[in-house]
Amino acid sequence: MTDKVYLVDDEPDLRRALERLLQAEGFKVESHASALDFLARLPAEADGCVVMDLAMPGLDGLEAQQRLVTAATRWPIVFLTGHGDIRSSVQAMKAGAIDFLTKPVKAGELLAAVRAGAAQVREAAELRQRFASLTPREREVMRHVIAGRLNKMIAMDLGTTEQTIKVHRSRVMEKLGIRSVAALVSVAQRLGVTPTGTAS
Amino acid sequence: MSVACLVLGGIHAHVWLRRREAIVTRANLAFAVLALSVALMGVLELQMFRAASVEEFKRLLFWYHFPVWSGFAAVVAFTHFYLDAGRLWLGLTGIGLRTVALIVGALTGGAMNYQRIEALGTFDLLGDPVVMVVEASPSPVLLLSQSALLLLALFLADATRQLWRRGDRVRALTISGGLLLYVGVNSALAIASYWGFLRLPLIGIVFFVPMVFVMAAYLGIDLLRGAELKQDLQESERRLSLAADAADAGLWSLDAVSGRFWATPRAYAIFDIPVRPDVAVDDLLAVIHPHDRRRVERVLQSAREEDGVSNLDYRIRDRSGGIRWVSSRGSSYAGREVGSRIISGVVMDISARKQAEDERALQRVELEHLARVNTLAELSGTLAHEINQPLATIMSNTEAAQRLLASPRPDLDELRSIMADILAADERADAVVKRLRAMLRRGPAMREPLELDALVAGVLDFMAGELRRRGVAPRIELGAPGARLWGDRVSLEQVLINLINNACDALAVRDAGMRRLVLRTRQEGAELCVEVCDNGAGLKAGAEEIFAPFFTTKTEGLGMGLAISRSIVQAHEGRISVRNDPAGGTVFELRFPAHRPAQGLVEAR
Repeated sequence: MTDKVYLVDDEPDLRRALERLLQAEGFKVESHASALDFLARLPAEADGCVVMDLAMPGLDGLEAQQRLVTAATRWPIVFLTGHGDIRSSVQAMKAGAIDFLTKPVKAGELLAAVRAGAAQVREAAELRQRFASLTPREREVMRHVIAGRLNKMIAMDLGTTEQTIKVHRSRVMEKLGIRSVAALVSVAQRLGVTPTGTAS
Repeated sequence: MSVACLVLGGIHAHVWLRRREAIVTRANLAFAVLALSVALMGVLELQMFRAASVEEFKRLLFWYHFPVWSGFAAVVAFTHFYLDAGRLWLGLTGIGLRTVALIVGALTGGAMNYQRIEALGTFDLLGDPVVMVVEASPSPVLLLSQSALLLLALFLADATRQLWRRGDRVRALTISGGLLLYVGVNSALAIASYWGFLRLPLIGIVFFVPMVFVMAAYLGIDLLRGAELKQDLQESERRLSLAADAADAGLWSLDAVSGRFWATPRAYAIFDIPVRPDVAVDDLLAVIHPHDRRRVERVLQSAREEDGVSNLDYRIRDRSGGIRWVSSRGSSYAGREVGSRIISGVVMDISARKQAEDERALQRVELEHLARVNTLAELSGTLAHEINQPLATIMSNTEAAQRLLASPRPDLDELRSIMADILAADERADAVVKRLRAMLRRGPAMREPLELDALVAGVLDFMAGELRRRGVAPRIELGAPGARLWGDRVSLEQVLINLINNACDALAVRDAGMRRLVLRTRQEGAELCVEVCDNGAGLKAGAEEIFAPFFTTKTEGLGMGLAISRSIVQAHEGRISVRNDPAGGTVFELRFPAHRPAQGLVEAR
């Protein structure tokens, strides 16, 4: 499967040039002239890395990032900017951007960032696949676990024995390919799974 | 009486001889001829009174008709030159008829108006018996000479009427009316005696002499008045040179035909040529700066050809090698003498004023440059982007091409289109850099014909990035296709950039999607008009206030933008005005005179 890149830039010339570069490296590119245009056609799941210009008329890059963060899945974003200022780069990185690159951007830097993004996407897809293999009971147990509850308490809440919970719990860890609760919490975060007791 | 006429005639012949070139003295010549003719008539009449035989009488009569002819012509000439009245063709036809009569009379036996003179008799004139014709048969020639007299009478009547209408009533009554009366009475008497109704000897002199005296009196008065005028003129000349000296101006005059040059000492000093009587035009041209010489020569040439007033500023190279600016105002008109033409004028040394002007111009250039640099500083973000963007495009395209080339079968069509894109991006960056360089250049304005629509479209193109950055949607309505104005591209672009920048600032109060800017051009008669409209906050300050230097509503503005814009527009003979749009927002309007193609040929100053 080829990795997908969403390219969002208002300058048609540069957009075409970047498109060519990414295509030459084997990426499947979908271009958008504005962030609004991109958000309007946003797929339900993050299936590609986003390469986005920071300064665009209408909705700018950082505003678009805010909207993407609130979406159900996490989008890896590589920012491009004409003149990088520290404040916006810090803001972008804090909000989870992969990289913040200054134009004219070197092909090597861009491709490295995009590949990192693609890897994230692939990883997330794999994780989602693994999560999909969980039974409803296992998911419920998972939500309790990441809420920091002990097996005994979970068993009481769900009206079963502590032993059963233990089995469910190890099945979850096994299916998701992780060993520690800390890793489970982080995976849950990435998958958008909320702990029990919080609004989902 | 003849002697008196001779003396008077002599005096005026002298006047004419002394000032033969002047038109006014032709009247003196006419009078002299008349007076001499009358004197001759008197002498011949006296001879005829004493003629001993018909033969002698006939001989005297033959000679008598010559002064009569010249007297006739002199009356016409005097009326024409002195009174400047009467239809000339009437008088000339009269002279023509009289000439024919004289020639025919002289060729046919010499008895002139008589075919034959049968007998002479005596007539008692004031107690003296005088000889006269008593029996004769009139010749047909008589009809000719009498029609000539009739034409002369008509000519004089016409002159009298003209003078009367002109309001010159005294001269109408005394001179032309008098002449008419004497010619009329004399002709009537002659006709009567020729046809035998009346028996009178030839006494033409009696009628002419009073007329000669009247005319002499007028000419005499004129001579006296001339002397008085000369004195007045000298006085006014003294006053004029006093005024000229006070204004530090030199006076000069040049006779375009003879090349005679006259000037006040101050004028000699300004031209820096030695005071000599024989200064020629070439001496004057020699001191004029070579760059200005042809211009001065052209003006002189047209002054030689026709009347007119002209102003001219030019440089003079003085003997010490220094260069001074001189302002000259001259006029040319027909001189007193026939065919002559006088060019005269005032000349002033304006070097100090010129220097101040040059300094002011230099200051303006500096200030405009400063404002441009300031504008560019404000736009620096956008400008960096404008240059960076094509560079980024070129770089990414090149790297894409390198990757394509590394593949086993490169897509040549794609490579071609990459090359084309690289070239286009390069041109874009080049255009931005060129414009930047032009705006950063410091130098005097360079005037050329500029197409208004192209100028406005070019500026909008330059500002497109800035407008996008600031979320302003521009619209352009070009309505003056092909119309041009005469101006300096960089300065005019500066004005438009400044107005667009101001509009962007005014639009900041609006939401991002609502910021609109309209650039409009149109031609209105001989004027070109540009409007820069925004739908922003509108003006709160008065129109005069905002054009004043150091007026600003921005925190980081110099407050010079609009003041400099106005000074640039005014230097282009244009106007700038501002008004609030009733629908909200501000409209800046620029008006310039449309460029006429011939204008380019006229040198500045």
